Formats: sequence, structure tokens, C-alpha cells
Amino acid sequence: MDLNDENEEADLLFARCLKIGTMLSLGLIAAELAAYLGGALSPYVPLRNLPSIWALPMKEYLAAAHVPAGWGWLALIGRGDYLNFIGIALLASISGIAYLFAVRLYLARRDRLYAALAVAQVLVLLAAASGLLNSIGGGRP
Amino acid sequence: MHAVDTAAAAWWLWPLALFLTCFVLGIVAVIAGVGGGVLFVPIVGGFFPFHLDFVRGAGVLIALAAALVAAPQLLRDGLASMRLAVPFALAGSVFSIAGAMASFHVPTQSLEAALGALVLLIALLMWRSPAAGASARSAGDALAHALGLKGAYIDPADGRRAEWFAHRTPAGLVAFSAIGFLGGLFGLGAGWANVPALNLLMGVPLKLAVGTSGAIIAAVNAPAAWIYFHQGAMLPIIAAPSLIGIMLGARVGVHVFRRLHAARIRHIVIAILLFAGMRALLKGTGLWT
Repeated sequence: MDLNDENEEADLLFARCLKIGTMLSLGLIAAELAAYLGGALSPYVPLRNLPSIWALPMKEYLAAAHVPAGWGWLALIGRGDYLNFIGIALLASISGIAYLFAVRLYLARRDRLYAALAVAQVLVLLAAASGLLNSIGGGRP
Repeated sequence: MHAVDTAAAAWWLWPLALFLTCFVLGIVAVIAGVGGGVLFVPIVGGFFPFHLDFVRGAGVLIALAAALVAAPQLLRDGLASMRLAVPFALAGSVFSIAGAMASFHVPTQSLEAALGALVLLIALLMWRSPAAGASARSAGDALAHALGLKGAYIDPADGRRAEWFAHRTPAGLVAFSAIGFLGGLFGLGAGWANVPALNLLMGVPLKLAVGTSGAIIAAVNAPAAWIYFHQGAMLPIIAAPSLIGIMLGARVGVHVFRRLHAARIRHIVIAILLFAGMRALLKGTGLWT
């Protein structure tokens, strides 16, 4: 197997992972949006209140709506608006999952450099997803 | 009924308008060959009542979703290369986090004015539309050699197998770091910058550069999206209808693409970007509030 064949194998692996993950997350987002706007689950922030606060800067919005930042949304997952975060979180995780599969492939091919790069990409995504980076610096008031 | 009551009663008008706008943007973006995010952020930021923080949060997601939808087919067709994407995506990802975090320290008006200037620059780049750079014929630098940044792809236009090599890899890493920062800062995908960086700077064939740009955005925008998410800059009422609208629009756009004169649409997109960029610049500088 030459380098080009190995490249192709990695490309096909990524293609498969990205396609399945994207279809799943976009389908989830559509279903969650329907449940949210259709009133199947009551939202944490009432829809009628949104027009008076969605023009506020983020921090003022969070304070006005009494909305948690970080992983606080998990406690509100049963509400119509926060249900949407499941699909959004999945969408933001798909590439990391694809890279995890790629690590195995690169290691199997003894391509240690690309295995290390793929691990680094997963770690960067994990650092962002953990929410720890958001605690650095307060941001604008 | 008071004005506030009327606005509250008509809350559903905005997500509906957002869905319809994004549906049209999805069609236009495919035909004009631009990412959805670069149209979404200045247009929705300039003409909808939502704060720019939430628009940027949705913009990151839209660019991410558009790249994720396109990447599998491009990878299967050999028009995108993960060997090429992985190192540059890593550099871009680190700096997209920095850009996203920095954005919450910049005053909104300054951010809006800078966004306007950047969008005007993108419109100018699209208008000037530099010709494709020459493809590199041999491995050019030690880093490209170490990373194995070479391969072959079959051009679907003529069915010929073309070898590719990457050049100027260190400069490419610097470029993708800067592009990642800007993407995170403004909530954009950065195909407008990725493609010239891969093609003009690094000598990657244009078609492979376009395809690989999508694979890079699919990785770079994911950590930025998590930063916006944890900050609290994701509003489902903005993000979800926009995502669905732009994805459906892009599907229609692929079919409309065959029947329309793409160059004319491209001119319309440039006009839209000029208008939206000017709006953002004037809004940010307080001249058109």
C-alpha cells in the first residue's frame, strides 16, 4: 500500500464518520426545534419574553433571563429551549469523534506523527468542550 | 395593545424570517461558492434585532454544519485530503479558540466595525478573484516532506490523475493560525481565506484546495463553537432555525446551480457583502444605528 492508498483510507474513514454524525445531529436539531417551537416541551425562557432580551449583550441576556452558562444547561435539558443543545453539542463534537477513529487508523499504519497530530486535535477540542477555558478571563461586562 | 405586547405576541415572526433568510442564503452560498457563515453574520447581525454575540455563535455553527455536510462527498471523491487538512486544522483550531475567547473582551461596536471592514475586504477579494496559482511540481520544504504533504487526485472535469505537493508549509501554518483566529473572533467559516492560503501560498491545486478547506473548517470551527456554547452565546431560537434553513437552502442550491449563471450570482453576492459590510461598519462606528 503506497502513501496515496493510506491517505485514501483515512479520507474514507473521515467521510463515513462525518456523514453519519452530521445527519444524526441535524436530524436531532430539526426534531428538537419542532418540539421547542411547537410547544411539546415548555421552554425555560418563555418565547414571548425573548424579543425584549435577545438584543442585549450576552452577559446582560444571561442575567436578565437567569440563564446558566457553561455546563449549567444540562440541568435544564428537559425544557424545550435547552433540549436543542443536545443536537448542537453533538454537531460540535462530530469532528472530534472522527479524529478519534483516525488515531486508531494512523497507529495501525505506524504513522505516529499523524496519530500524534490527531490526538492533539482531540485534546484541543476536549479543552474547549470542557468549559475550563471559558473560566479564563471574565470578558466584557 | 402596547408596542411591547405586540412585539412579544409576534415573537415567531423572527425565527420564521430567519429561517427564510437562511434558506435563501443557503441557495446563494452554494451557487456563489462561498460558505454560509460569511453571508450569515454580517446580514443577520446588521438587519435582525439579535445581539451580535448570538449571531456570531450561530455563525460558527452554520459554517461548521455547511463544512460537515460537504466534506464527506469531497473526501470520497478525492477532492479533499485529510493528510493536508490535519496539521493546518490543528493550528487553526488552537487559534480559533483564542479568537473566540478574545471576542468577548472586545467592545461590541469595535467588533462590529472590524467585522464590516473584514467583510468589505472579502467582497473586494471576491471581486478581484485572483487566478488560480500554479500547482507545485515537487515537495518544497522540509516540513512538507516530513508530513508527507503530497498525493494524487483525479480531476472529475477531465478524468486525469494529477499529482500534488505542498510548498511553504511553515508560512501555511502561520496563515492558518491567523485565519483560525479571525474565524473564531467573528464567528465565520474561512473558506475565503483557506482556499487562497492553500492554493496561492502553498501551491496546492485549486480544486483540492477548495475541498480541503471544507475539511479544515469542519475541525477548526468545532472548538470555537464550544467556546461560544459555554460562554452562553448560543440561542436555540437563532441557531436552530438558521441551521435548518441554510442546510435546506444548500440542498436546493445544488439543484439550482446547474441552471443558473454562476458568475451573475457571484456579482449579486459581492453586492450583498458590500452592503452588509458597509452596514456593519457604519453600525459599529455609530453612523447608522
